[in-house]
Amino acid sequence: MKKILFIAFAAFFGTILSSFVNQDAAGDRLIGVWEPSNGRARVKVEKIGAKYYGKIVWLKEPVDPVTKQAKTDKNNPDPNLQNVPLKGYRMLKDFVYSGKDEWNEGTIYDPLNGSTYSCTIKMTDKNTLEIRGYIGVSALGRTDIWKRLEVKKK
Amino acid sequence: MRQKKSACHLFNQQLKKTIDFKALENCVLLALFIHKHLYNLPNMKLKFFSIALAAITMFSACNRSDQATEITISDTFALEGPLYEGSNPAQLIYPVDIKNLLGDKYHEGVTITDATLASATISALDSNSLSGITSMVLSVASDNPELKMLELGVINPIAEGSTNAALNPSAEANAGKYFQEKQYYIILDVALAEDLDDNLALKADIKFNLKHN
Repeated sequence: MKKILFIAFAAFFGTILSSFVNQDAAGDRLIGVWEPSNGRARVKVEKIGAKYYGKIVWLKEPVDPVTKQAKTDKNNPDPNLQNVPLKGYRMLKDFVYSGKDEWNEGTIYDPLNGSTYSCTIKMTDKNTLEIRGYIGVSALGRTDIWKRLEVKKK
Repeated sequence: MRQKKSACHLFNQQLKKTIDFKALENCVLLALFIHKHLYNLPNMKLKFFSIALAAITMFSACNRSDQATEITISDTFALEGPLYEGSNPAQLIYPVDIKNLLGDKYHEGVTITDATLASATISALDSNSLSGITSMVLSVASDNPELKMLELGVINPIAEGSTNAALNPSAEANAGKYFQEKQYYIILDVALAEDLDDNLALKADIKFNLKHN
């Protein structure tokens, strides 16, 4: 009897543990390099703690035509942060995997106007993301399609 | 809905910042006591002083004054090579121990409400200069979904041959809520001019101005 109880407990906790591990692995599918539909930037998604962040790693036009210097976050509402380099800037922040191929609770930053929007990410297949930025309610927003880029290992 | 919730949350936070609820509770108890035992006193002077005392207690409860404390976090950011041209992140997990942080100023129920970056100086450990590093950005992040990543300071560009770099603190970022967590992440993004097939260790002295009750 004791043996059966022990096996039942072990199976129960094993299932719970494996569901946490699977949840983590499912969330990590977001990690990689992605390209928005306009092709003007590439964004690398990384994990810090339990959340996902995406930073700009490539820009089609990396140099500011006015200053002739590397582009910075000149539209940042905080004047002291306007010289943060745009290349390396985290435009996707604080995404939490909520299951069902969706990452929520995050924000997306538009460097063109310095605005931050609420954002959800849905993975429609392993190489395609639907990125929806919105203000207030999700219905009032815009969706963009991002594609995964294969990165050559050095 | 989200905006409504956050407005409510902000109002709550502001209320907590300005009103000492424990003192207010004591004040209400005192008022009840006065009403029950002193209100019918024939002595007008005693009645007047009792009511004045209650009013002063209520006034002081509603005018909580914040205290300020400066703290320094000294630690090393380690970046494991190979490192690539562009931004490379290094992170520290910082456990918050308010008792230790505030020292003599610690008391039961203390809450850190504001935390602004006073200064952050980064220097190279392995070599004498920061050559090859073009810029650095300091940020904080948390596992708590309510807390969003904050950029605290930046230096761009870094002068060639510098042995240390002082970041320009953000004018607006308030990391107060991070000090209400058990732990948070301090992230240093180090931008390199070219690939580096080596490890990199950077010493950081980060000073915060804290405000607490």
